[in-house]
Amino acid sequence: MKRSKSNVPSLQLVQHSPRHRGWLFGAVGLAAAALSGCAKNAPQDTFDPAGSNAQKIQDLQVPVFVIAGVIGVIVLAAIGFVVIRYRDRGQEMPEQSHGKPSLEIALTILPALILAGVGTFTVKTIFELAKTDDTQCIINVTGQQWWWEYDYPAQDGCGGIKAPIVTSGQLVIPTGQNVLLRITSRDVIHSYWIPRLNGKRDAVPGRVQTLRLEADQPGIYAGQCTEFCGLSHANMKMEAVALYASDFETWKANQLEGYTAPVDGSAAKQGEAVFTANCSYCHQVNDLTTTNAAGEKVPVLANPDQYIVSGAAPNLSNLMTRNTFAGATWDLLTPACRDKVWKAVPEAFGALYLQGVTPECLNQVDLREWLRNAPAKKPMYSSDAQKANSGGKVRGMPNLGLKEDQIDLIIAYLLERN
Amino acid sequence: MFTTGSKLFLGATSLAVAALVVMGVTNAGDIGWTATVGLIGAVVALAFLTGINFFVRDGNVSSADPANVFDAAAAQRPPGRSIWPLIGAVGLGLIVVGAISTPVVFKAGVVVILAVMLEWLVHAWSEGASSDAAYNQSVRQRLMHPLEFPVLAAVGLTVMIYSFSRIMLFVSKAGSPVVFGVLAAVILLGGVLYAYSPGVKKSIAAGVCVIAGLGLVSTGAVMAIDGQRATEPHEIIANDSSICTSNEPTEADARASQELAAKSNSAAIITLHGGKLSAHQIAVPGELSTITLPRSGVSNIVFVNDDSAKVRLTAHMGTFDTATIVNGKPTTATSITCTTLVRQGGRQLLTLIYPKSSRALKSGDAYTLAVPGVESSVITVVVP
Ligand code: HEC
Ligand SMILES: [Cu+2]
Repeated sequence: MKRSKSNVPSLQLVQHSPRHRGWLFGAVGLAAAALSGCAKNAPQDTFDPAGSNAQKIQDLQVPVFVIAGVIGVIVLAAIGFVVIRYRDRGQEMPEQSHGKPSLEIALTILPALILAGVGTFTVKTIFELAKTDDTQCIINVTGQQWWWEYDYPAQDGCGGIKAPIVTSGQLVIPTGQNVLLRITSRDVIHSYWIPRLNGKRDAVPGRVQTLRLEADQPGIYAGQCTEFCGLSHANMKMEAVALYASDFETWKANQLEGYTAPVDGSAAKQGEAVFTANCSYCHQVNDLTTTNAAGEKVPVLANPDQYIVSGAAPNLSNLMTRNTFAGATWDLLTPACRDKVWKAVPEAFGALYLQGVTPECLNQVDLREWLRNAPAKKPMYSSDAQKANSGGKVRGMPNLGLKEDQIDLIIAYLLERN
Repeated sequence: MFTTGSKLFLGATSLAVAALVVMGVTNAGDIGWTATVGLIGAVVALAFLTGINFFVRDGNVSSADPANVFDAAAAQRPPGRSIWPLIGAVGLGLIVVGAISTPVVFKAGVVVILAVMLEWLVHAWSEGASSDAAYNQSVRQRLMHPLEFPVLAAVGLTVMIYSFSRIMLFVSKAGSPVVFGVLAAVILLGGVLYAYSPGVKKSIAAGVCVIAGLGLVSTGAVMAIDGQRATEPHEIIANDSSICTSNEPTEADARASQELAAKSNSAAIITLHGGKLSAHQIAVPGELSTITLPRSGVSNIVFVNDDSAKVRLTAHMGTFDTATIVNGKPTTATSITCTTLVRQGGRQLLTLIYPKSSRALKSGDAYTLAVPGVESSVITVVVP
C-alpha cells in the first residue's frame, strides 16, 4: 500500500489531460497486482522449494513460465502493433492475399516443437515424482473431516519403528530421507499438499495413493487440504515438521513411551477421570486404564466409529508434542513461544520443537475455547439436529457442555500428554 | 496457400508426430507395439488427409478468382435436404440415455453416430461431385448401396429375430407353438391373398408390412421388459463361518466373476502361490506377512490365486463382546468375511472396514487374512 502512494504526485501532474488517465489507472493496477505477488510471509509458496521433489517441479515450472511469458509478451506486442499501426485511417483497402506458406509452416512447427519440448520434460518430471522404489520411510496418511491422521507402521524404514505410531495434524519426518506417504481417506475426497515439499495428491476413500516428500532442512512446512471437503475445508490444514535424523529418533522414542499416569492427588489425576468420562469414547490415549465394576483394571478404548461419521478422532496420547491442533488450525503454543520455534534457524529448530508444549508456553486461550464449545470455534456438523441428519453421528467434535472447573482439570491432564 | 482444411490436418499430423516423439523420448524408445502402430497410423492417415485437402483445395474454389465461383460444380446448387442431422440427434440421444442406463444403448448410439458420420460425409461430398444432380445421386448410390443394403438387412433381421425370441420367451412353453403356428398361417394367408389380387396397391401392402413390423418390434420390446425372469439377489458372504472356513462351492461361487475393475491403488494385494500367502502393499518394499490397514477406512484387498485349487480368502475381523449379557457376562461375536471361490489365475476383491484398532482385540486374538486349508501361512493385519 505504501509503495503505491508514490504514484499520487504523478496523478496530479496529468490531471489536465484526461486522455491519459486510463493509462495511469492501468499502470497503478498492474503495479498493485505485481507488488501483491511479492508477499514476504508466504509459507505455502510453490516457488520456494525446500526439498528434492519440490525442486524438480521448480526446475520444470520456472523455464515453462519464462517461455510462456516471453511468448505471451511477443503475441501481445504483435497484436498491439498491428492494431495501432494498421488501424482504419480511411486509407485505401490494401491488396488481399490468401495465406503465406512459409510463415504458416513455421508457425505450425515452432509451437509444436516448443510444446513437444515442454511435454517431454513434464512427462519426465511426472514419472520421476511417481517413483516409489527409493523409499526410505513409509507413513500412512488418512484424511477425514477436517483433519489429517498419520500412522507410522512398524518397519525397518524411518530408522526403524518397532510399534505403530499414530499422530495427527503435524507430520514429523526425518530430513534428507525419501519419505513416502500412502494417502487415503475415511469419508470424502481430500487432497494433501505441502507446497514447499511436493505437489498435491488426492486422498480418495478406498484407494491408496502415494506422494514423495523430502525436506533438506529442519523446519515446519505448512500446507492445507486442497479438495473441497465440506464445512470446515478451510480449517483443514497440516504441517510437515522435518527433524535431523537424531532428533527424529528422539521424537520416535517419545511417541512410543508408555503411558505416564498423573501423580495421585494432583489436578491432572482428577483430569484423567474427567477425560475418561467425557472424551475417551472418541479420543484414544494409549494404555490409559480404568477400573471396571468388577474391580479389574481394564484398558480404556476409544470407539469413535460409533459416534463420528469418519469413525476417527485424533489420538491424544502425545498431544503436547504437537505445536498446533484441530487440523493444524490453532496454535498450542503462545505467540511468543511459537515464534521461537517457527523462526528458529535450522540447527536450533529440532531441540526447540522437541520441547513440545510446556505449561508456560500453552496457548490456553484457544484450547479452552475449543473445549468450551468446539463447533463454535471451528464450524463442524455436530449439533444434535445436524447429528440426526448424519445417521446419528457427528462430523467433527461436538459441544460437550463442560464446566470451567472441568476444563481446568482436563487441561492439567492434557499438559502431561507429552 | 494452405487451405483451412489442410491446416487443420497438418496441425493434427504435427501433434501426432510430437506425441510419438514425446512418448519415444520419455519411454527410452520402448513404447510398445500398440502405441507405435497407433501413433504411426495416425501420422500416416492425418498426413494423407492433409495431402488430399491440400490437393483438392478443400473442394473449394479460390475466392480470389471470382469467375470460378459461378462455374464450379460446387457452386451450382445449395446443399439439399438431409436426414442425417436428425438421425445423428437420435444417436446422440441414445448415447446420453445409454450413459446413464445400459451400456448396450450407449454402444448402439456410438454405432449410429459413426454411421451418420460416414453417410453424411458421402452425402455432402456427392452433392458437389458435379453440376448434374442425377449423376450426383447415382454416384452416392453406387458408393453406399453395397454397404447400406447388407447392413440394413442384417439390422432388420436382428431386430426381427430378437423380437421373436423375446415373444417366445414370454409365451409359455406350450403356448408358443400355437401362437407361432397361427402367426405363420396368417402370414401365409396374407401372402396368398396378395398374390391372387393384383389390383391391391403396392402402398397398401407396404403399409400392412410396416404396421406388422412395428407390432412385432413393440410386442417384443414390451415382453423383453415384462418377461425377464427375476434376477438372483446378489449374495454377500459375510459373517457366515460355514462358508468362509471351507472351500466348498456355493451358488454365489458359481456366479462370481473373476474380473476386477479395481485393480490399482488397492490397500493390499494378497497372493496365494505354491501354498504360501504373501502380501504386497503399494510402495512398501518386499513380500509382507504383516500389513497395516487404517481403522474405520475402506480398505480394498485384491486376492490373487496362483495355485490350481479353487480357494477363497477369508478375513477374520476379530471376536468382540456384544451388548447381550448372559449369566452376567457379555456374549461375544466373531466377525468374518470372505471372497467367493477364486480359480487359478482369478482375482477377487475383499472390501474391509476395521472399526476397531488392534489394541481393542482380546489377548490371543488377531486380525488375519487366510485361505481355508492353508493354515500354515496367514497374513496378519495391524490396525493402528
Ligand atoms: C464425539 C467425539 C468426540 C468427543 C466426545 C471429544 N472429541 Fe475432541 N475431537 C473430536 C474430533 C472429531 C476432533 C477433530 C476435529 C477437527 O480437527 O476437525 C477432535 C479434536 C480434538 C482436539 C484437537 C486434537 C488434534 O490433534 O488436533 C482436542 C485437543 C480434543 N479434541 C480434545 C477433546 C477433549 C479434551 C474431549 C473431552 C472433554 C474431547 N475432545 C471429546 C471428537 C471428539
Ligand atoms: Cu479436506
